[in-house]
Amino acid sequence: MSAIRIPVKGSEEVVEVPISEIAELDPNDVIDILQAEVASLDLWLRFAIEYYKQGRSDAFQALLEPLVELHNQPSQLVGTPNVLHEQFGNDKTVKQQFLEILNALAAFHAANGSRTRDKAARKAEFDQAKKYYDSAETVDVLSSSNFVGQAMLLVAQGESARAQKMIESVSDLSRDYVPALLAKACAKFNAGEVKEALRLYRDVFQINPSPPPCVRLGLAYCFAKLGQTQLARKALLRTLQLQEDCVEAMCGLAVLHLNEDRVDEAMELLKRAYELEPDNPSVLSQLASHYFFTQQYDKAHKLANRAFLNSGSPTVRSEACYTIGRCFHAKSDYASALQWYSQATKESPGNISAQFGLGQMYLASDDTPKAVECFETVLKKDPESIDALKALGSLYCLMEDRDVALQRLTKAAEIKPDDVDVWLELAKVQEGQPGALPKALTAYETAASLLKRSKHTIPAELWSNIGALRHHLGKLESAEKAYNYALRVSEKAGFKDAFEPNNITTTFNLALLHEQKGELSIAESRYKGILERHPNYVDCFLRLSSCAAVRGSISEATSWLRRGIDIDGTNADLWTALGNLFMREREYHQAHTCFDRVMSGDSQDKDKKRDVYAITQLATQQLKLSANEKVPEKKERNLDKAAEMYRSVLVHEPNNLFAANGIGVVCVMKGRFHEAREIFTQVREAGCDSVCVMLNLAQLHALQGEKSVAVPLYQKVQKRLHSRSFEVQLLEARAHFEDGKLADCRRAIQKAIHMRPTSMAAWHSLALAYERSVRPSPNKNRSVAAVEQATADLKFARRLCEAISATYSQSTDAAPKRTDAIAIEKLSKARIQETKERCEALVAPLEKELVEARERGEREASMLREAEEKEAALRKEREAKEAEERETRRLADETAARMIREQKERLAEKLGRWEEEEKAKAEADEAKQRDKKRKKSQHHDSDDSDEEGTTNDGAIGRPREEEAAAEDDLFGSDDSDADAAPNKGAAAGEEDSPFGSGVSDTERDRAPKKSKIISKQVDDEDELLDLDDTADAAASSSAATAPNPTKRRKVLVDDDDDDDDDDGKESTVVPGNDIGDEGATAVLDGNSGSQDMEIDAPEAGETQTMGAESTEMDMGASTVPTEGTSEAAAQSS
Amino acid sequence: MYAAGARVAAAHAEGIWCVSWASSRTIVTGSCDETLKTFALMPESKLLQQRELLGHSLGVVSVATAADGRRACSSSLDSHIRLWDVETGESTRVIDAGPVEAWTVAISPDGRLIASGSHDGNVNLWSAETGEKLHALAAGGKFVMSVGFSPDGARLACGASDGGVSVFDVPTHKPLAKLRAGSTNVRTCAFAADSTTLLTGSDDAHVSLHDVGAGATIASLEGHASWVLGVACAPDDSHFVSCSSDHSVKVWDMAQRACVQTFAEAHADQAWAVAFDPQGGRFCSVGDDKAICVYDAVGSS
Repeated sequence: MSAIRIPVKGSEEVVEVPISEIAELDPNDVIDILQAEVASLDLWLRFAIEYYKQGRSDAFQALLEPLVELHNQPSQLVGTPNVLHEQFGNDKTVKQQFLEILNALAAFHAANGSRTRDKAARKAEFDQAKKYYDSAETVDVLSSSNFVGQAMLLVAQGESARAQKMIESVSDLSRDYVPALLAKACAKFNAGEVKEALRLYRDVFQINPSPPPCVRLGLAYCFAKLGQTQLARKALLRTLQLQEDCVEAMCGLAVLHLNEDRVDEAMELLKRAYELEPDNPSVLSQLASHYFFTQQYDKAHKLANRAFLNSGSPTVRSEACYTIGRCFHAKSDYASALQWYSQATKESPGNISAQFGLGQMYLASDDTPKAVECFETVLKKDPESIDALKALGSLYCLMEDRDVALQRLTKAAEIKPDDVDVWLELAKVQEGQPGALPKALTAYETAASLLKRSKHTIPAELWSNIGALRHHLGKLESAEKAYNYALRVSEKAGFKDAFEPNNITTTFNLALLHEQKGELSIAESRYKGILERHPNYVDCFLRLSSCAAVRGSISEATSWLRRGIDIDGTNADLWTALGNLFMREREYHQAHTCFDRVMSGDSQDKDKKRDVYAITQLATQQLKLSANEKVPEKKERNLDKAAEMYRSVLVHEPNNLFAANGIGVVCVMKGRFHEAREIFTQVREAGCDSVCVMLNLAQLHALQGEKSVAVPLYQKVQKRLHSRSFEVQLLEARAHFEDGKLADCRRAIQKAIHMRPTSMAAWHSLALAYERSVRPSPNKNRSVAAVEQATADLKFARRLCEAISATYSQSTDAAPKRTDAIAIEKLSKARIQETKERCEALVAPLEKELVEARERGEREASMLREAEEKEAALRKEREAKEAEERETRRLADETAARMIREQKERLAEKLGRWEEEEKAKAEADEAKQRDKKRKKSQHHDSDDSDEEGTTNDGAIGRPREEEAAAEDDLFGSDDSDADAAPNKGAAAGEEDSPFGSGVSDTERDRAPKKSKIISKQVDDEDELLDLDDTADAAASSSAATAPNPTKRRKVLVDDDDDDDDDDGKESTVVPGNDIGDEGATAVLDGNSGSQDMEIDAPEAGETQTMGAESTEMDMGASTVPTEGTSEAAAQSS
Repeated sequence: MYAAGARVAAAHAEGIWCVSWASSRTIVTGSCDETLKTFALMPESKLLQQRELLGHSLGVVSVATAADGRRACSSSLDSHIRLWDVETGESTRVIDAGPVEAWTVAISPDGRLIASGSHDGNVNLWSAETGEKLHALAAGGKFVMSVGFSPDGARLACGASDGGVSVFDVPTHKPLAKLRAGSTNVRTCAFAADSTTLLTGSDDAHVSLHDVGAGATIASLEGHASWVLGVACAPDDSHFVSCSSDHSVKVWDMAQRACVQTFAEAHADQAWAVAFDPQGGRFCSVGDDKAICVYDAVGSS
């Protein structure tokens, strides 16, 4: 549409006004024409809009405002509400058109307002806009455009929520109303609901495929926000195509370019945009950040400032503040930077970068809590922010909140496992955490390997730290390697000499390593080298002294410390070490002076920790004094003093385990075992599984008779010590001894002797163990062999005593008073004598026992013999009986056989007789028959030839013959078997009854035979019974030959128990715990007997010193590597 | 260099205190469990227990074998010295030295003399044939912790509890040299194959090299972190080994006088003794962890 046509009133003509010329027209002329032609309101509006579009907002206002004035003038005419309607008519169209005019004005003011930077002017514009909207509302309450306009106003005022509500109500009214959709999309976008906004923009495109360019802009913003850069770029380019001077599109495109590092293109766009619209805050802000990156801070600052002043959008303002803050930050003006960052976060709390910058500034001004707050805010917004996680990690570490620090850093490492800094931070945190050293080492090593992979040189500090950690973890070989790498790296960096200041820590640690490996001379030469260059490196004096002490040269050790003290007379470590040396030498009073020096020390770096240590050592010294003290009151006083000091330590440091342990020892020495045990157990539970606490607990258990607990504890202590301890070995032996486990005891003593064969006390313990084990025990009678063994053992024990007392007197003659081993072990001549006497006293009872045992043995042997004889007799008897039986059986068999034979014969005879009889009978019968036949044939002689086939008589006659023949046959066969039959019968009789009965059945009348068989059976039964008897006898005889020996002996024992009992009683009177007396410990015996007290008390001290010494060693060891690492860390950071 | 070879984890019921390599195939060990055992080195680097030598009534402190590899003598806390036939495992003679009178023993290469260190500072010489006590050599009045014959049988060295080391001429019983190895227990001493160089190990963690001919200490070597409990020299004198209560076993170069290899945790407890195969090429160590470890030479040693 290139022209606006104004219909001429009253005619069909129109006045054409080309749009392109509108800008040149005087609005008054236009008004005149419009008024003259009574143009409709929409024409007025169109002219106004065209003016506006062409930059003549003055004409816009001039055209429209009078109309509103007219509307406000009440009409004189009836039926029209005001002058406007009077002039233009009072129908709905006019009303609608006027509404649009009002909206246009409102929108004009709203747009002006959002463009104005001056707050007052801005407010005025907005108010104006609001006024127009309000009046529009009075004209038509339900007009959509009105609502949309109001909503846009709210958006411009930054009240997204209210705007959205407003728009919701509009879109409820008309779903397809484009402005409403756009407004809604805009509101949604501002409220962060980008996807929703995108959807709305798309809806707009569906309703109106060629909307104003700005719609594409919105689309582009949405895409950009959603990370769909390509789509965003496409939308922006299209926008620019449609509207070449669209600054927003240029700016957006520039941002996209910048993000892809296409700086030149971006800058071109930005410059064009800047020329077009020099005050556009986005453009300014982008330019500012560009200049910041090119380090033109002043320029950046100025531009950002202008952006800040010109923008009403909190985001842009915040961004501008952030850029300014960064400029100050880059110029190290942290105070100003802090202010601007802070402003940035105030403008837009969602500005994470500003939040982070602010955190950094707080960090720079040492305001840790606030810094943490900032970084946590960042983290809340962006939970995966590596930088924030890292910063928080080191901050929490600084605040000693290592758990949280670890949590943050671990997360960082998870997110970005190849970030060297994260691993370094992680290592630093873990380093300080108990038990996490291996993890710290892994972290350092990961960092190192990452560096190596990325072809960076691993810094000397990192190597040094790795070395120190490996060192700490006992990986000496690899630690040495790491230290050497550190030195090599530093040599490449130009520090050729191992004694250069920045190599000194590594060198020192390396020396310490050599010292630990036992290579004392290498270590010493390094320490001395360090001292040459750095005579103030006091730690070297400490180490040198310690090396000397290890060599056994106490005087040299002392002199190193004194030299150190000459250089730094207030060094608590040196005094402490000296005190410890004196303690070790049992020069308690001198030790006391040293510790006093530590406490009264006026050194600047006065360290509570060392004080506490000194007090602990002083208390320990009191303990030892008390142990040496003979006067009970003084002893008690020393104990009280020690307890008091320990308590004072605990007031300062409630978790000081050594003090707690000390109090435990005091409790033991005062006989308060229950409390002592509670204390020791607590100390152990507190994680201090230190050897001395374990040992004390073991002692306490042993003292209270719980050997089964004590022994494993001793063994655990032994394992924990790097090389086994003679004293603990003896203590274990004593626990076994008191527990009555003499075999275990003897083994433990053997091990102790093997460790220190020069210790006569150990040998003496062996004698004691023997003495105990050979004692006759009241309720057990030993075998001859056992008694003989006991006698041999006793002999050995006695000889041992002899030998010990001989060497003892020999060595006491020449022994120097203090350091002599025997003196320390508290073996006295009297004790040896006592043992010897006890051994002697056992000789007689043992002899007696032996005699008895022998007698018993003999008795047993004779009984055994008797039993054997008895058995032999029995056996003989049985054999005889058996032989007899065999004989009788044989006889019986024979008789049976004979009888059978006889019977058979008889039978045969009978049979023969019977046969004969039968024969005779048969003959007789035959004869009779023949007679009959003869008689018959006499009767029918003539018929004889016919007789066979025809007559009954003949038939009858024949079977009879047959019968007879059969009978004949029967007997005939019987005859042939006649010999076998009796045999069979006999066999049957022997074997079993069925045959017998068969026989008896068949020969029922032959009673004698049957009765014989029965008697035979009875015989058999007899024999069976007999057999049973012999089986019984065998069983009983085997019982006799192999009786349960113990059982029998037991019975025997009971007989003469009484004699032994007396001896037994006598021996049990002897106090049980003699073995440990010369053993090293005292804690136990502290209260067991007054006499033992003095002997053993020092031993309590002994254990205590061990503990104290180990603390000292621990401290020494730990200070050095940590120092190394911290120094390195400081350098690396 | 050596590599860990055969190993018997629980060779005895208790800690093993001493070891001697009788012949190139047989190792004799003595333990706190009161027994000695012989082990045969089988092909493929396996140790097989052969015999158990029973007789001692307390822990076996030391064992030594003669050059024939058949005769062995041992000492025990029970104060008896026992002679053994390694092949049959039989005890051929028992000598009652008296309590605390025979700590460690050594047997002369020809197997005829036995030397034992005693508490009173004497080294006693016994006849292996008759069991008679022949001589008492005064070594300085301190507990004699270790004794050793030179491979040629002409010299006898002993180490005492005060760090003193004495060397005697065996035929004449005359003292040859008085040396020092620190000021603490010299728990082990061993001659090199040249019968002139003497190795000692002491509680101050040092291994010392002495020239017996010159009567001088050549070197005192550091490296162990605790007591040195055993030393042994390779038959070719090129290197020697040591073991310590720090659980480690170290190989030292004779010429460099430096440690060239360390088996840091060779044993889980104190390593009490080391012994070389008389043929060379391997050695073994024993310790309180009841284990026997054999180390085989690898590459050029």
